[in-house]
Amino acid sequence: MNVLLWPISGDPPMADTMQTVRILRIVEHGEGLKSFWVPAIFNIEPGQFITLWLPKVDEKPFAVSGSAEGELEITIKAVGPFTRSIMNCRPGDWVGIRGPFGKGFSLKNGAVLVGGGIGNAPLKFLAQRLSVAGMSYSWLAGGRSKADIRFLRYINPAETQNCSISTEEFFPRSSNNSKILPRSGRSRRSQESGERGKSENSGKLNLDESKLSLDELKPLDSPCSSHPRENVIGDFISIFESLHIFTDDGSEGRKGLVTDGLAEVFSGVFPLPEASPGADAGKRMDGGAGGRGLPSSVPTFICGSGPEPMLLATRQFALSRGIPVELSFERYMKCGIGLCGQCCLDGTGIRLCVEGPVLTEKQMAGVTEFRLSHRSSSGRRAIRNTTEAPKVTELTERKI
Amino acid sequence: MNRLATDLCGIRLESPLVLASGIMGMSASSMKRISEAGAGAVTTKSCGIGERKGHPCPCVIPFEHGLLNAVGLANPGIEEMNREISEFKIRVGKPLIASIFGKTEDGFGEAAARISLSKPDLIEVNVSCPNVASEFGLPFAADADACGRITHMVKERANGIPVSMKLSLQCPSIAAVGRACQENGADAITAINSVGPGMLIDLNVRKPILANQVGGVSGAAIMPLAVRAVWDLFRAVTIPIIGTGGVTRPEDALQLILAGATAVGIGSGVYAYGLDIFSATNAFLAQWLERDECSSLADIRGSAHG
Repeated sequence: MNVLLWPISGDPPMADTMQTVRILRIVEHGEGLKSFWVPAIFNIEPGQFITLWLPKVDEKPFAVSGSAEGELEITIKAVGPFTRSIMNCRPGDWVGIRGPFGKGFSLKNGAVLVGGGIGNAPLKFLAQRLSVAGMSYSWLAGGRSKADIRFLRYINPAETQNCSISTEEFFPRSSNNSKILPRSGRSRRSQESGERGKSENSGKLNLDESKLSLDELKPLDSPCSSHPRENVIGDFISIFESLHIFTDDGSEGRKGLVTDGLAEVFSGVFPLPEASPGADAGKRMDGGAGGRGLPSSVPTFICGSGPEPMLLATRQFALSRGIPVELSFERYMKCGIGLCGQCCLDGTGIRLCVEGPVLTEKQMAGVTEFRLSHRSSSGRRAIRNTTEAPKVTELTERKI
Repeated sequence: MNRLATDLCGIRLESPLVLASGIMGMSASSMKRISEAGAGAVTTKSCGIGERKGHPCPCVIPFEHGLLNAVGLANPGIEEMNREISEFKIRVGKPLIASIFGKTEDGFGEAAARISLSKPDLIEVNVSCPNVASEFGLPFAADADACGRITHMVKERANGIPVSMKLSLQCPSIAAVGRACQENGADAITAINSVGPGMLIDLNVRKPILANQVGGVSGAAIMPLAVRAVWDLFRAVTIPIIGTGGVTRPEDALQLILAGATAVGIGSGVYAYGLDIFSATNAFLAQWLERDECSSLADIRGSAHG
């Protein structure tokens, strides 16, 4: 019989334990929408999540929206007490962090990313990783309006300041809405630094320097930066090429639902850009099931994150076409480590914080609660939808 | 022949392993999953008469040797839990233990009466939650007389459903509390609840990490305490003991049985080992019984006392 150790007694990082780090920098994308950059004290994959703790406030789960060398970006929209409270944080403030939790998205060639609102945050990280891996993908980013998805404008603020990216096509620049909050006590980053990627794209630089003047932001010790190429600006160019914006009010991109774009991608209206030449996908990635060997412009796979109705519409589309799909769901979470039962899905008992939050179609198949209201912190559903909820008496007749 | 089959208060368990209260016992589906993972029975999260949100987060924090938790008796209320229990009973053929708490001695009786409507196989009475002292006062489990009165009250109103009292180690003598429960009609004892409360402080923000500041200690750190508690109770009472506390490896479960446990609760072990802890422990116990040519767990229960 094998002897098992208490799981966190082994190698650091003891990720499930609470660790506190300083917020390195904060990017404000508009009212109540900010990106917080923190030291990457563990490796994390797109779609996995972390928790943030503000002492005397609360601890809440969040997706990671991007990474740079030794740093993670968490993009947060103010919707509740915690998220409103973190909007008042300043660079240098301590914040507790635990993670990585759960299972993320597969990295596969030919992915079509479908995001709604702040749900685009984990997809931004996924797009970054796909770009780094040299995989082709298309990203349909939806929001209510321009302000909802403004954060997508900054793929990596630490790296874009001196580099030239033409972002006009997808991101008409706004002059005042985004600004970098300086980190107190640090000197400004010199213009001489950050030369990487400059030569090829020079001349196209349109970014407002006043908007993007960054502080000297040396990452803290970064023991687990396993993706050094994420700093190369070329990776981010391919994100812009792959991005299609949809807004409900037409204030940016196309007017309409992001799910409308799905059919167009799969019928070739939005071709997937070619994978970036010289990409080292073959060296670094094992390749997904739908992966290499297919022409890179063929969409084969859907990754979704956003409001549940959008996810369910996406799932319906994928089912109708027989397309593999991975969707990131949200539930009230407390412990993050699969113990409290708060995020267990009815039907299968899947713990969203451990076996999710990204679910495959196989995992979604037996779930019975998708159209019900979510459980609150007490575990009670806000409203029982009696037309949808299985009645106990009916359960005997259902295949369980 | 199933060497692991266990009789607990007249309830037949296919395995002595019981999902401890507070771990994943929120819904029929999650408890069904634990059943399928190899638990002989499951215990619901403790529930009371009214809905409770519990403490803010962080409410469960792992540390090097265990977990610190202050979930704070979050529960949807007995009415809602009864739906889940009913659904579980229909979908799963295994026994279910319903855990209840009350704020007052009368409250326990009322909770027992209400939970009995969904006909759980056993009612576990949580008189020992260590992380609600600021609201509830010292756990009743510290007071043998109070435990006796609560046992009596719950037994009167449980509609004939067997009752197990969940005790705390934090009392002058757990044996004395156990005896008081037995004398008042308890059918079983569950021991122990998490220990403490304890506290962890973050060095950078210089604040307690748990939102509730203090919380119950569970996991590997308390396993020897649970073994000793079961040992003491086995000498003090004749009713069965559900030995719970710090089982994070299959070997730990056997220690509790050798100390006198009839069934073994597993909670933090689900984190430490994963859901496989149930099947792995079942396999370990079966192999061990075979090796020592024992036909059932009854042959070895409490044999450390000999």
